[in-house]
Amino acid sequence: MAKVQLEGVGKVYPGDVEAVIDFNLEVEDGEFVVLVGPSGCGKSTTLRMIAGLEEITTGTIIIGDREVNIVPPKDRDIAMVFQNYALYPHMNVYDNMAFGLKLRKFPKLEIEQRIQETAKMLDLQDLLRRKPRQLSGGQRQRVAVGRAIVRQPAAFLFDEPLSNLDAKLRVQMRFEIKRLHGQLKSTMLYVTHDQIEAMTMGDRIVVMNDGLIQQVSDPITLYDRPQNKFVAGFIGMPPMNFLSGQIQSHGNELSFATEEGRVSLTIPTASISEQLSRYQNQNLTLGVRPEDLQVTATDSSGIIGQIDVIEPTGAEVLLYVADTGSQETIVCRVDSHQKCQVGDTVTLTVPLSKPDQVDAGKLRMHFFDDQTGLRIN
Amino acid sequence: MVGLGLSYLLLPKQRQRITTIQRYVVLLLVAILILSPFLWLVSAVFKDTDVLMQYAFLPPLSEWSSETLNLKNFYNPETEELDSLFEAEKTIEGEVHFWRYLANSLFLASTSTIVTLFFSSLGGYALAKYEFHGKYAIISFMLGTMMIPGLLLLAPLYNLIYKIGWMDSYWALLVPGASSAFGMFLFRQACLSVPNSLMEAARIDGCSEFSIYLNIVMPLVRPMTGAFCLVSFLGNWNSFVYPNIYIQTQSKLTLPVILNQFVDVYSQQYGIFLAGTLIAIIPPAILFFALQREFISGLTSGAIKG
Repeated sequence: MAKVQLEGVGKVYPGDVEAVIDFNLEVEDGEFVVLVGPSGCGKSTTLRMIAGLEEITTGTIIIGDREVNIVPPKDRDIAMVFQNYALYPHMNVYDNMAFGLKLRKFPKLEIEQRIQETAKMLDLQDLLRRKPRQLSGGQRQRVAVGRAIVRQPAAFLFDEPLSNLDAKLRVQMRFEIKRLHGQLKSTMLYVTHDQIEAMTMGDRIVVMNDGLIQQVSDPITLYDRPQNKFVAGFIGMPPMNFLSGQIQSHGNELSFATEEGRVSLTIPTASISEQLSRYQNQNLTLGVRPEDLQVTATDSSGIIGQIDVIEPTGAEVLLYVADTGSQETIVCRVDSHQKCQVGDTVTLTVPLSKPDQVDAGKLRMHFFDDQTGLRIN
Repeated sequence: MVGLGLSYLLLPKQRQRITTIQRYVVLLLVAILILSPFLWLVSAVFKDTDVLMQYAFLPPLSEWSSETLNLKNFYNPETEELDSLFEAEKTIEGEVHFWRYLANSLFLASTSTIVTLFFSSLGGYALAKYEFHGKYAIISFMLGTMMIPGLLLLAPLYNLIYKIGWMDSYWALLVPGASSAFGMFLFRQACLSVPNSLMEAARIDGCSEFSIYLNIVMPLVRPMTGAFCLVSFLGNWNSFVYPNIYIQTQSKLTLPVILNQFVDVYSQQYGIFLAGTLIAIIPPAILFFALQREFISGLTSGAIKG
């Protein structure tokens, strides 16, 4: 187990394609850090640079106390789990797990002992003599994880390991990897494009876009206080709703109104931060999470729209409301018992559930600078 | 055969059965056509010289005796002259047995196959899996060389071998064919199907680049290896022109060359000549049966998305 540090790491591919730009991160010993972002954001490249499968263009990578910039993958003391399992098809499960240990000239007895312990941990005892083609997707991924565990590396790297599994198996494996991290208490770096996976697994999450780190925080902070519009839109399913408009002053009260003036949301006075006041009469973007919108029949202050689509998901219902002004779709998550029909005209407001939540941190409205995309409040 | 006009009277199952029978009849005829020269050869080898031309294949069962069917073509203890295949040939270098030519051919064909396999697979692997400057130019050049007929290179190659001093040496037969453009291209195509992540996993596991080639890639391209070995072995086994030109010492000659000499030596004794031919067929036949599964899957690999 070891700390993993990346200092100003960058990767430029031929043709001046910048895949990763000035990446700085310190992964603590035993921490589970998830790199998340859309395709092509540089998260896999970052992981591959840590593994030594890609050369770095700039910066420094430190594993433990050692700079590993030019150390070959086999000497970095890391283990990697690949998206497509990467099990050696001509070897059985036992040999797949033993391969790395044999190459490192471990005594036979120790190899046997480590494999048996890992097989027990991952419930692979009965599969040790099988070839990868005789295993299901979930079993193969467990073998791939097992192959990494037997090595007892300083750090584990996971490159979208659950992407090839079906939804149910993915949830199960998610749980198993998380439990495994609890047992092994080892440093893990996990790459995924699935934000649910990121939110549920990571101690900390690194959100990336266009090769740049957008935000590094724990899952709750990331959800409640996204630092910019990209993070706000990327984290959360369904994603956050965005409305363009202005902050307007009405005596002691502030409200948010869209350009057409059709949407008007009152901002609770107690939550008005100094930064927000400075944006009066300037264009900005308001973000509201679907679950923070309340559906009322009619109200003078709110977003008026017509229900376009209703998606029941079981415990709750997703309403897709077309804003009558801009015709943009706003998603709203309501209780499954709420009665509404397609075609109903509704007003969406952002209520405050409890008076004590009225502070800058708990405000259910997220304001972003239109120019920079950065969070204002 | 059922005419088209009547086929509508049959049930679908019956129609299917008739089609199957028709197919088998055609296949049987083709098989007879292909196998008949081989059967003729086998029967000729075991027939006595006196009755060789009397029957197309074997004599009727009633005439089977040691007078008509025997092993005299291989070994004839009754004569002292050069009268059977296994009798030592007296040359200026001394006595040379037929086995010597067989051993020469076996040595050359297997060594050449192993050497060519090693260099072709290594080259193919590099061309498929590594990025380096001029890679595609090399591939194009390599493919281009395949368009040049081998015999065109005969004179320059002879000149080169002569200058190096490899005349009458097996180096002249082994070295020029050690790297094959065709083999490299075949292995390149086979190696392309090996996922890069397997190599990366092996790199992290602690493999060196050569170890990845040997322990990961080669086992995965085994069908192609089998097919290539067979094709290469057959090519080397049957090679006539180069051994005939470069090798002068009688005891170093290979089977195809010596069988060609037999045409003159045994111009009146086809049986002995044919016995040599039969023995020459056996090693590649054994290899084919041993590798036929690999051969077939190697030839069809990559034909469909797997």
